[in-house]
Amino acid sequence: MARATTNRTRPSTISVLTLGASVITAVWAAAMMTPGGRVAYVYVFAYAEYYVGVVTLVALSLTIMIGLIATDRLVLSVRQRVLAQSAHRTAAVVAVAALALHVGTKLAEGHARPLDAVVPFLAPGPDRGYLGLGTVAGLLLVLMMWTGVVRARFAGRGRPWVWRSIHVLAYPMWPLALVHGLSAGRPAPPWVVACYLLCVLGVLSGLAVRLSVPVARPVGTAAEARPPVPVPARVARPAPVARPAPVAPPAPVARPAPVARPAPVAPPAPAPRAPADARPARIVGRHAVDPGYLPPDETPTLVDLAGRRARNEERRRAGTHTTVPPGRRTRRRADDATAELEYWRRIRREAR
Amino acid sequence: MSPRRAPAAARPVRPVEADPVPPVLTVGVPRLTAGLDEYGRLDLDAHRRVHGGLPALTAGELIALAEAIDLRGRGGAGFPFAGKARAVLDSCRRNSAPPVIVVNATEGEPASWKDKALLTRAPHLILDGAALAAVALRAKEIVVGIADDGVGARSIAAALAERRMPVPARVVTVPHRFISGESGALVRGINGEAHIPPGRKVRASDRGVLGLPTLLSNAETVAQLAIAVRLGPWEYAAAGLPGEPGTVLLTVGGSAVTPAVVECPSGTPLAGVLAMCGADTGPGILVGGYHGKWIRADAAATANLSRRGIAEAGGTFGAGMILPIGPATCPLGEVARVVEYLAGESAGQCGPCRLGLPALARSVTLVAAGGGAIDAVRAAAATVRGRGACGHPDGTARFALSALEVFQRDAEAHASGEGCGKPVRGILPLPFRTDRGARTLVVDWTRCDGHGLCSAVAPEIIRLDPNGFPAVPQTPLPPWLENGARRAVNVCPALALRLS
Repeated sequence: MARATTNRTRPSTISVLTLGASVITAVWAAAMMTPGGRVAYVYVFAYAEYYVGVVTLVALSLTIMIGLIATDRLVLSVRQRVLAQSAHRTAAVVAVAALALHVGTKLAEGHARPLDAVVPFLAPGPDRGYLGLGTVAGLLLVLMMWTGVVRARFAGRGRPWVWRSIHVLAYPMWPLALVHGLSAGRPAPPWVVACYLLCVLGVLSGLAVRLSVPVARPVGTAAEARPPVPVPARVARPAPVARPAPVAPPAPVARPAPVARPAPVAPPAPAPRAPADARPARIVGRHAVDPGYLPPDETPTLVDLAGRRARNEERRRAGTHTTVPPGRRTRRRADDATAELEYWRRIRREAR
Repeated sequence: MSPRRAPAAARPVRPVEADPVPPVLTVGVPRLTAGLDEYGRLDLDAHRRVHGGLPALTAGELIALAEAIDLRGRGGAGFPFAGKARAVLDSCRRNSAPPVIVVNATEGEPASWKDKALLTRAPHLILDGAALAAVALRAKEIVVGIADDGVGARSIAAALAERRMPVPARVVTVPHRFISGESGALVRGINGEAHIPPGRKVRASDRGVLGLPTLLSNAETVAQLAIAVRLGPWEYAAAGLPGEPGTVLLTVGGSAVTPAVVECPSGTPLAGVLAMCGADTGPGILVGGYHGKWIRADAAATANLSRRGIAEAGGTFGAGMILPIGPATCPLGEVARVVEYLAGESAGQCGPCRLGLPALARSVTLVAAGGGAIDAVRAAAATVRGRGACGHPDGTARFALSALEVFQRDAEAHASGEGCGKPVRGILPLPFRTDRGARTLVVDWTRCDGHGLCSAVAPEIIRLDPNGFPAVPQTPLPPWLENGARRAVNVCPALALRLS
């Protein structure tokens, strides 16, 4: 993020409005009053009348795709998610603008009556149904736009679930728009169908990401649960890997490996680990937090947390620390959960 | 994505109704406050009747007078006035340009009222001093810089309207911010630029308003000059300590039952002034404002009110704010609120200050909440010190560190988890209050899921704690931080943030 530039003052609203109005006037004048401008206007209008519907649908699909992907917490970093959110909003604005152009040109050409832009399923002719779908989708899109604009208000006075349930109407809107695009008006040429198919694929994969979000939530506790170096997870999950013998005397392994199990494969050489006190920055979600920000909580508890931490640390150094697979909801209790797991495992082993 | 923080925010938080200026009390013979008890506000007539006419001085006489009474800047820095005037004269001679006289009456400190008391009740003293300097230095114009908090603007305008100044004089209003009073910031504000401290230090005496050599003085300083020229150096030195003659103007607030602007001869016992205002000292006294230092109650009991006396007690005299904390409030909680406020007052142009002061505020808040270590505060303070265009980071770090030193026992009680058991009453005043339209960032903890997007878009307001959840300031936000806060509200995927 660029640093704050405080030297410039924000232009006033009036000056911005004046500038916008004069630009629009200038463009209008150029289009209407110069011969070249008139020719360009005709071309632009023809293009808009012919293609902006496709642009609308592609922008809409992009909006939905990016919106779905922006919820991901596993792959995307925080920064990328912020970027995805702004891309989502930008694509939505493009879609709404293209929709306005699409409706405007269609009305100007007389393909539909002004009433049909507002009330669905009233248009005369064979395309009545497909045209109506477009109207419904357009109205929903405007509604989506409104929910996007007033979103913050739902966080304050309103209820978030209300917002979510309105915004989720985007899901039914999109197929309506797709059917409208494929079937209303002229028959769609193959490349448009291909475009739409790509959009369908993209949205479906986005949907998959979105549905995986509540399931696959990253373990959010501190470094104990999720070391920053990507460990080969679930390598040694059930098998009690024999402790890799230290360099010094080839001490007999304390416990003979159970016969029934396959012989323990010699684990790969452990990655060079930083010394314990030079702790790397903790990974929380996906951001590094300065470990010196908060000293460890030393409040006395009923549970011997310090001892547990020490044991975990020792185990991790020995390479037998089991990492909890990230698919489980072990958000705040990962530390305890691993300890529990290990404890019961040991008891079972000893009972055997 | 660059967070553009406009100096004039979209929705400025103005006091709906300006705070009343506290009453004026006097110890000994009144000088700056002479006639206020009789007339209330001195208009030109009353001013002439009380103070008499104004003689004109040459530059040499002015400097000799300022030297004889050892007049120092009363805005906090305490720079000798004579030295400043000499530097301006030198600069004028070098550049063969006339100087500009700037009176700094912005008084950005929320706890300070002395300049505002002068502005509202004795504006002609300020104008007298400015006129005196303008005639002596043959200035091109006089500029009086005031804050836009609605206090004193009408009074100074009325005073200017009813008298003739030797050179053109104008009043310039700058936004009421903590850093607006910094000399470089004021000069930039007068020149029509953003009223924030410049990145490269330029002495106002070399290049100030309109690029001319500028004599920039605090309002009380020029008012003292107007007193001294009438009394003469010997009579002036009749009050106060031999080393620091004259009177000082204080603002006594904090736990004082009757907050007041007090004029007293320098060297008056601090305890006497506190008793006069009905202030119970409590564990410590803040002297010199929010960039000042705390002094212990036992040191305060024997301290006298002079730069030297306060320095011996371990404080800095600064702009003469005396804020006893009182026994009824939690000192660390108060300090945490003020550090949070100061962090929000960062102009945002120097990175170590923009992000370092919020970190410092969080570490102090953690100490007050019982979870933090004092060493973390030290580390955070060390990160910011000396790394800004102005003294704001240094002053804030000094304030926080001296508080932890003076309230060590409280800090230990908080660190052990028990706390001091006292509520935070808001004894130390802050300008942004929710009842005046300032808004607070609130987290709905049941919704927050630690996504962390908020801290990515508004790092100067929100940081994540080690568990990945946002730590937001508890105090109301200044208006210039509201845009960032709104961005954070907008990106929150869980709709857990709101501005209320």
